[in-house]
Amino acid sequence: MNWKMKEVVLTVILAVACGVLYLGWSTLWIPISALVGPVGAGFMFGIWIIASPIVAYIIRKPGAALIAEVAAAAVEMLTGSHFGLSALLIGVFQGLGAEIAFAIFGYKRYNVFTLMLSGALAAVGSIAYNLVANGLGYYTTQMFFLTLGIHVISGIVLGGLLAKVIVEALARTGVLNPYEIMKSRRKQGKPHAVATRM
Amino acid sequence: MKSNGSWLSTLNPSCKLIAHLLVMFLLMGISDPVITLCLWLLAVVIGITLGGWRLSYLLRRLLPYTLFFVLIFWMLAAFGKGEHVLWQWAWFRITEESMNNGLTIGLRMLGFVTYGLLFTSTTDLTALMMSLIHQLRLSPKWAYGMLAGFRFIPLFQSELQQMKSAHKIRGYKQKNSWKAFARYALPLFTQGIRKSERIAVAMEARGFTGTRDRTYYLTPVMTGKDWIYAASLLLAAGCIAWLLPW
Amino acid sequence: MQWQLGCKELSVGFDHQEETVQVLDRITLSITRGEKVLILGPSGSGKSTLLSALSGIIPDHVEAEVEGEIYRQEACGVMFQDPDTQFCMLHVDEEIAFSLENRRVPRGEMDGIIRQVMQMVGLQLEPHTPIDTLSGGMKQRLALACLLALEPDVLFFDEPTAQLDPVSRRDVFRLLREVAGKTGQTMVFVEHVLDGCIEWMDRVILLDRHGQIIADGEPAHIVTHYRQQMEEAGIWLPRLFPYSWQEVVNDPSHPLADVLRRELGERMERDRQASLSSSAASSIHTLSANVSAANAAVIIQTDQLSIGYRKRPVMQQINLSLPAGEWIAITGQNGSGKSTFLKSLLRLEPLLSGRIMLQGKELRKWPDRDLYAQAGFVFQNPELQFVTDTVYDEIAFGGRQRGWPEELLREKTVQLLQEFGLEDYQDQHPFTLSLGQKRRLSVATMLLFDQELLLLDEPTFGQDARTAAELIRRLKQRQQQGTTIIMVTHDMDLVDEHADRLILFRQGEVAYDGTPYRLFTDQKLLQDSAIIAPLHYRLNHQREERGII
Repeated sequence: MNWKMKEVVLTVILAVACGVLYLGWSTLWIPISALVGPVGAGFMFGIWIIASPIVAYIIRKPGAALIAEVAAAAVEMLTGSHFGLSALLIGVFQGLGAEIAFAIFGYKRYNVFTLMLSGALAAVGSIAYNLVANGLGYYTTQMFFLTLGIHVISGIVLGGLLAKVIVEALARTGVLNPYEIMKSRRKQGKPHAVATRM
Repeated sequence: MKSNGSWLSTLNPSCKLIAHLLVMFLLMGISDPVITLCLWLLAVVIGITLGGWRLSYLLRRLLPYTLFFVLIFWMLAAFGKGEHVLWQWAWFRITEESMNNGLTIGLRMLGFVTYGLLFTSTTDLTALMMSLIHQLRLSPKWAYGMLAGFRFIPLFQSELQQMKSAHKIRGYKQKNSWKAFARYALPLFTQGIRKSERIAVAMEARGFTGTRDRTYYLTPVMTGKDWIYAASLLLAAGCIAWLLPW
Repeated sequence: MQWQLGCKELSVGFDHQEETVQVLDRITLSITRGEKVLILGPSGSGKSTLLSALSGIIPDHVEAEVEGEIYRQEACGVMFQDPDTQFCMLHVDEEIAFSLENRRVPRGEMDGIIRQVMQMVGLQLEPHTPIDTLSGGMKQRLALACLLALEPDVLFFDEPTAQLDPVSRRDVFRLLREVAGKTGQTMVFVEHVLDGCIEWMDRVILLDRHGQIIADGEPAHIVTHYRQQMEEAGIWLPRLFPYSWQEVVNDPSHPLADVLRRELGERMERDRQASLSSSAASSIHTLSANVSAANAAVIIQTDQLSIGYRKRPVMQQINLSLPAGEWIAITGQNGSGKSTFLKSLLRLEPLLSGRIMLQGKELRKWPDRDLYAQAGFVFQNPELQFVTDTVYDEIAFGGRQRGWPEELLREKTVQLLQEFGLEDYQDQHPFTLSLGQKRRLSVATMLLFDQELLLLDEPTFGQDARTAAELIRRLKQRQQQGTTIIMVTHDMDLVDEHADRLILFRQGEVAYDGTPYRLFTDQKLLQDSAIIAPLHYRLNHQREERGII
C-alpha cells in the first residue's frame, strides 16, 4: 500500500475530527430515537459514516475508508464515553461496507457515485452489525426493511453526498493541495477548484 | 484512556483487548436475558475485584447507560415483533416476546459498555499502541500516527465549543442540522489538515521512518498472568453461557 | 573556513491548484560550522522554504520542485513554531524517547539521555508528565530537548517563539543562547521578532518578496542599513540592537536614550492628564447621589463576580467598573482567568456567582439579539467564527439575519470592507485569506451594527509587526468614534502605547487596576507579576538605581 506518513496522520486527524463531531451528533440522536423509534432516527444515521467517504476521497488508497471509520469510532472509546469497545466493532462493520464501494472499482473511481455507494454500503454494514449484536432481527419485518431503507438513503445523502460537498469546500481553501485528490486533478489538467493564494 | 493502577492495568493491553472482545462476541450469541445478566455481573465483579473500581465510580459511569438501557428496552418493546400483545397505543405495540427481547438487548448493551469500560478504564493508550506493535504486529507508522492524532481529541473538542460560542455571537442559528454539521466540519477539518501535515513533517524530520527498524522505550510483553486472566475470563464466561441453562 | 551547509542557484516551487508557484529564486549561500544565521523576509518570501531545503525537509518530506544544488548535513534538528504539532506522544519522557528510538539507541541508555537533555533545557519536571499540561514556553523547551536527543550537527528554528508570550519568548531565546554557547552547534533561524535573538547572531540574510537575497551580512550592519526593508517585511525591529544595554544606560547623551526619554515623558504626561480627568469624574460621582447618572459613563460594571472552569473558581470577588470609550487592556499569566473573564462579559462562560451590569442593565436580562448588536467579540482564532463562504457575505451576515434592506446592507458592508482593507478580497473564501486579513475580517464582522463595545482576545498574537500595526490603527480609529475596546494581551508595548487602562489578574484577584504608566513604574508589582516593562521604563529605572540622570 505504501502510505506516506502525512497521509497516515491526515487519516487519523480527520477521523478524530469526525469522531468529535459524532459525539455532538449522538446527543441529538438519543431523544429523537426514543420518540420515533429506530426507524425515524435512522434518517440521521449517515453522518456517522462520513469519515470513510471523506478520507477515501482525499487519500484514494486501499484501506482508507475502513481505517478512517475505525479510527473515528476509537475516538468515542478514548473519550471514555458512549459505547466503548462496541463503538469500535460498529466502526469495523461500517468501514468495511464503505471500503467495498471503492474496492469494486479497483480503487480507481472516486466520484459522486462511488461516494454515494460507499455511504449506502456503510449503512448495510451497520445494519449487519445491528442484526448480529443489537437485536435488529427482533423488530417486525416491515420495521426491519424500513430501517434498512432509511439507513441506506441516509448513508447516501448524509454520508456520500455531504462528504462530497465538504471535501469540495475544503479543496477550495487550498489545504488539500499536497494530497492525492488535487494531484490527480492537476494531472488531468482540468482543475475543478478555484486557485487560491499562497 | 489512562491506566488506573489496578491489577487489571498491569496486564498486556492486546491480550486484555482480545479477551474482552471475545466475551462480547459471546454476548452477541446469547438471547436469554438471565444469562446476559450473569455475564454482565461477571464484568462488574471483575471490575470491583481486579479493576480497581469503587462502587461510586461504577454508579457514576453506568448511570447514564441505565437511561440508555431503558431506551433500548422501550424501543424493542414498542417496535419489536411478537404475538402476545400486552399493550397498544398509537403506533406503539408491546408484546411479551418484544419485552423479553428488549430486556436481552438492553442487558447486552449494558454488558458491552461494562466490558468496554473494563478495558478503557485500566489501559494506557501509549501502552496499548506499543502492545499493538509488539503483540499484534501493527506497523509503527500507524501506531505512532494514531498516537499523534489522538492527542488532538481535547483540542478539537474545545475548538468545537469555541465555534459554538462564536456562532452564537454572530447570531448563526442552525436551521437544519446537516448544514450546521458542514459549517462546524469545515474549520475543524481545515485546521486538522494543516496540523496533520505539520505533525508528519515534524515526525519525519526527527528521523521517524515508520518501519520496524527502531528501538523501543516501552516494550509490553506477554507474561503468565496475561494467559491466566484471559483463560479464566473465557472459562468463567463459557460456564455461565453453557452451564447456567442446565 | 569549513563549509557545512549551503545551496547554489537554488529555486523551489510548490504545486498549487492550477500552477506551480515559485517561492525561491536562484539562491546561493554557504554557512560554516558553528555559525548562527538568521534568515529574515516578508511573508511569502520563502524563508521557511529555504530553511526546509537546507534541513532536508524539502524535498524528502515535503514535495516541491527543486532546482539547483543543496549541501546539507545528515543529522539535523528542526524546531517549528506551533508547540502542539511537533509532538506525537502523550508524555515528556516518551516524547524524548521517540527521538532516541528513531536513532536506534538501546533501551538501557535512554533514561540517562532523557534526564540529561531535560536538564540541559531546564525542564525540571517529573519525566512522565503529560505534555498537554505544559505551557507553550515549556513545550518549546521540550521540543528543544527532543532535538538535542538527536545529537544533530545543525539546529534549525522556524519561528520558534511566534506562538509564545513575551516572557516565555525571552526565556526560550535565553535558553537557546545558552545551549549555543555550550554546544557550539550551527544554528539557522527564521524569526520575525528580533529582540532576544539578533544580539547573538553572527549573520543575517534578508530575502525579498520574490524569494531573492537582498542582503547578507553582520547583524548590526543589516539592522542599520536595511531598516526600511525590514519594516516593510513586517519584522518586529529590535528596540535596542545594535546598541547594547550597557552603553545606553551609562551614556546619558546616547541617541537611543534620548528617544526613550522622550517616550517616557509622553507617557508621564498622558498619565497626568488621565488622572486629572478621572479625579474630575470621581468628584462628580461623589456629588451626584443619582446612581444612574453616574452609570451613564460606565459601560460594564461587575459586582462580586466569580468566574472559573467547571465550578472551580479562578477569579473571585471581581468588582470592576469600566468606563465607556476607553481602551482597556487585561493582562495576567496563562490560566489567570483573563480570557474566561472576557468571555463571561458576553455570556459565553457561565458565572459562578455575582453579576455583571452592561450599560446599567443586568447582563442576563439582555436578549441575545440586543446584546450582540451592542457588543462584538473577536476570538483568538478567527477561523472559528466564520459562518459564510465569502468575505463579503461574512460581513453582511448579521444584517441579512435581521432583514436589513439590501441597499443599506451593501453600503455598510462596502464601508467596512474599505475600512479594513479587504475590498479586493470580497469574493474570496474567508479561509483563503492571510493570517492578518483573517484577523481584520473577524474584527470587521463585529462592527456591522456599530457595536459600542468590542472585546478582543490577544488581537496581535502571532502576527507580524505590519499587520499588527495595521489592525491597531483601525481599532484606534474606532475608539476615537466612541467604541469601548477591551482586550486581553501579553504585549506590554501595545498596552503602553494604546491602553488607557490596564487591569492585572493575579492569583485569583485583581492585583492592579489603573493606568499602564503607574504599573510600569511600580517595580515591586512588576517583579511579583513577572511583567517586563517597555524599554523606556526599564532605562529610567536602571538609571535611577545607579544615580545616572
